[in-house]
Amino acid sequence: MSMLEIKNLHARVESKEILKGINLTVNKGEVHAIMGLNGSGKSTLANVLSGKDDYTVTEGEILFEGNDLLDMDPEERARAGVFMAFQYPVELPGVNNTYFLKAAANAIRKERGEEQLDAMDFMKLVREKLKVLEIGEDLLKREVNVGFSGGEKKRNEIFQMAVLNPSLAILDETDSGLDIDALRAVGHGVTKLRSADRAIVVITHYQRLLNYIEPDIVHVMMDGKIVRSGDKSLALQLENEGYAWLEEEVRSGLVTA
Amino acid sequence: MTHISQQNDTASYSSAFNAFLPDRVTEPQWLNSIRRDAFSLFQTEGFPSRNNEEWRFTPLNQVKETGYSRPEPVEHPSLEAIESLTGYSKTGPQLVFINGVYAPELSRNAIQTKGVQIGSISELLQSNDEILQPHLAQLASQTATPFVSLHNSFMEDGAAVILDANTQLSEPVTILYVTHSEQPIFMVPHTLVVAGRSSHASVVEVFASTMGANYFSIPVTEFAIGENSDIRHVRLNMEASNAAHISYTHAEIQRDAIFASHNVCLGGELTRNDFYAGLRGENIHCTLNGVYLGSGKQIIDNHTSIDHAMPHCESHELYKGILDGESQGVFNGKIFVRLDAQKTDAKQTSQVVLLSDLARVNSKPQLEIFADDVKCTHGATIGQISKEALFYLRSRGLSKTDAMAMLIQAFVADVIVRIPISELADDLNAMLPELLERK
Repeated sequence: MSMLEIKNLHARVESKEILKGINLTVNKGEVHAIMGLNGSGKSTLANVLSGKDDYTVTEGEILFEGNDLLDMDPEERARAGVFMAFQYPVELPGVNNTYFLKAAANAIRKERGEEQLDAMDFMKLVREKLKVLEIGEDLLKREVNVGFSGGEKKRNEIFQMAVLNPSLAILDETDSGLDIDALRAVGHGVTKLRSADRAIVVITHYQRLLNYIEPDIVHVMMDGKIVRSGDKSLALQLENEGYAWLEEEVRSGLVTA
Repeated sequence: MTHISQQNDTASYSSAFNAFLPDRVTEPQWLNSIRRDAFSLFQTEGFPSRNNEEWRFTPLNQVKETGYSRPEPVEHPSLEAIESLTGYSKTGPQLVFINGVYAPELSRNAIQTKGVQIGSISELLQSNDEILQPHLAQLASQTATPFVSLHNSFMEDGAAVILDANTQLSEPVTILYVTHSEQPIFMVPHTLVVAGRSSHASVVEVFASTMGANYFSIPVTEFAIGENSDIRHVRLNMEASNAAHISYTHAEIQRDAIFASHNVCLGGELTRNDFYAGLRGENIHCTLNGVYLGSGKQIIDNHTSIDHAMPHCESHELYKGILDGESQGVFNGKIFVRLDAQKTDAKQTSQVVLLSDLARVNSKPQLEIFADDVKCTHGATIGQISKEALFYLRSRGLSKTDAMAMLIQAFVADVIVRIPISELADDLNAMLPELLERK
C-alpha cells in the first residue's frame, strides 16, 4: 500500500477551481518534490492535505495509508502521522514552545497507544533532536514563533517535525525567503530526518533546497495539475531554463497530465 | 423559589437593621455611630438607578428583588470541604468565615511573628478595638457607593491583618469567605489590612460557596499602606453561579510603597467590583490587575480608580477577560492625575476575547489629567481566538478543546504569571481548562 495516494483531486476556494485533477502516489521512504510557479496550485494542495477548511474538495480522493484523509480533522491527520511544515508558521504569544510541543507529542502518542512522556523523558527527547538539528536550547524557552526570524520559524517547524516523528512530512515552501545560512540549516535538518520509514513531500518554488534534500521524483504543477514528473534533473532543468519551455509543451499538447 | 418584589427596595434592609441594632449595644461607641450614619445614608441614597452612569451596565434587579435576609447560625462544613472549594494548598495563616462569621475551629492564625496581628474583627472589637478604631470602616468613603454604606450598616466581622513597622510575613495570609446556606442571605465580610512602615505581606481573599443558592455578598476591603511597605493582594471570586457579589476595595498608599492587587473573577451571576487606590506620597508603585471568565448570563463588572495625587508615582493596570455564552463584561478604568502629580507614569490595558457572538463587553478608559508633565497610556482591545492559531495547534495533534484551552491560557498568562503567590498562579493556570470546559 502506498503511503499517500491522491486521485483526481479537484478543489476550489470559494467559486474558483484551483486544483483540476491531481494524481500523485508517494511511497514509504521516498522524497518527492512538487515544483511550480506562483498560482499553479502548490499551496492549495498543501492546505488541502493539512485540512484547512477554507477549501472545498469537489472531486477525487486522498488516501493516507489506505484511509480517507479528507474525512479526518486536522488533529486526526497529525495523530495518524501527517506533518505539515507551514509556509507561514503562526505566532502563538504566551504559549511556551516546550509546553506546546509536549502536549502535541503526547496527543499523538496517545493515539498510537504509546506511553505518555513525562517532563524528564520529553526533555531528553527534545535535547536529542535539538542536537541532531544543531539548534540552540534557548528555543525551548521561547513562545512559539513569537519574535522569530523567518529562518528561525522554519527551523522550528523542522524541529517540531523531528520531535513528532511523522510518517509523512509535507514541507510547504520551507525554503522560501531564507538567507543562505538558514537554508543550509533547514536543508541539513530535513536531510537528517530522511528515513526509510518516512515519506517527504517538498513543495517548493526553487530548486536550491533540493541541493540538500535530493528528491527521488520531481513533479511540476501548472494550472492545478501535475504536468510532468521526472528525476532530479527536471528540477535542475527548470532552474536553468525556467518554466517557459514546459508551458509551451503543455500548450501544444505534447504533455498530458 | 419565588421572591416577593419589594415595594421599597431598601425596606427589607430597614427591618433587618432594626432587628440587628439591639445586638450591637455592646460594641464600641465609635463603630456604633459609623453604623447608624451608614444606614441613614443608605436609606437616603437607596440603590443606584440605571440612569446613574457608574451603574449603567450593572443590572441590579437581582439584588433589589430578592428578599435577602441576615444569615442564621449554621453548622459549619468541614475544613476539607472548605479547602477543596479553592483547590490550592495553603500552609500559611488562614482565617475562615462561614456566612460572614468567624469560624475559629477552621482557622489557623497562631502567628509567631512579633508585631503582626492576624485575627477576626469580631474578636478584636472585644479585646483590642483601639487598633481598629483609626481605620475600620473609615478608609473607604461611606459615599463611594451605596453598597459601602449598606456594608457598614451591617458589618460585624471579617479579617484584620495588622503589621507593625518593619514586620514581614513570609507566607501569604489566606482569608476564606465561605457561604454555606440554602437561603437567600446577604453577608458583609470586611477585610482590614494595616501595613506599618516598611512592612511586607501578601493577602489572599477567596469568596466561595458550598452550595448553589442565590445569595448576596457585599464585601469591603480596606488597606492602609504605610510608607515603603510592600503589600500584595489577590482577590479570588469563586462565588456560586447564582450569587450576586458587589465589592469595594480601597487602598490608601503612602510614599515609596508598593501595592499590587490581582482580581480574579470566576464565579457569581452578577459581579461588580470597585477598586480605589489613593496614591498619597511620592514614588509609589501601584498595580491593579484583573482576569475574568464569564459564561452563561454572567455579568462581570470591574471599575477601577487610581488617584495620582503626588509626583513620581507609577501605576499599572492590566485587565483581561474571556467571555462566552451571553455573558457581559465591563471594564471601567479611571485615572486621575492631579495638578501636583508631575512625572506620573500610568499605564492601563484592557483586553477581551469573546468566545461567542452573544457575549458583550464595554470597555471604558477615563483619564483625567491636570498635570502637564506625565506619561499616561491606555489601550483596549476586543478580539476572538485566532482561527489560524487554533488550526496550527490542531495540525500538531491537539484536540479543538485542548487547543482552545491552550490559547486561552496563553491569553491570560501575563496576568496570571504576575500573581505574586506562585502556587496560586500555577493552580489557576491548571484550573483554567477545567473551568472553561465547565462553562
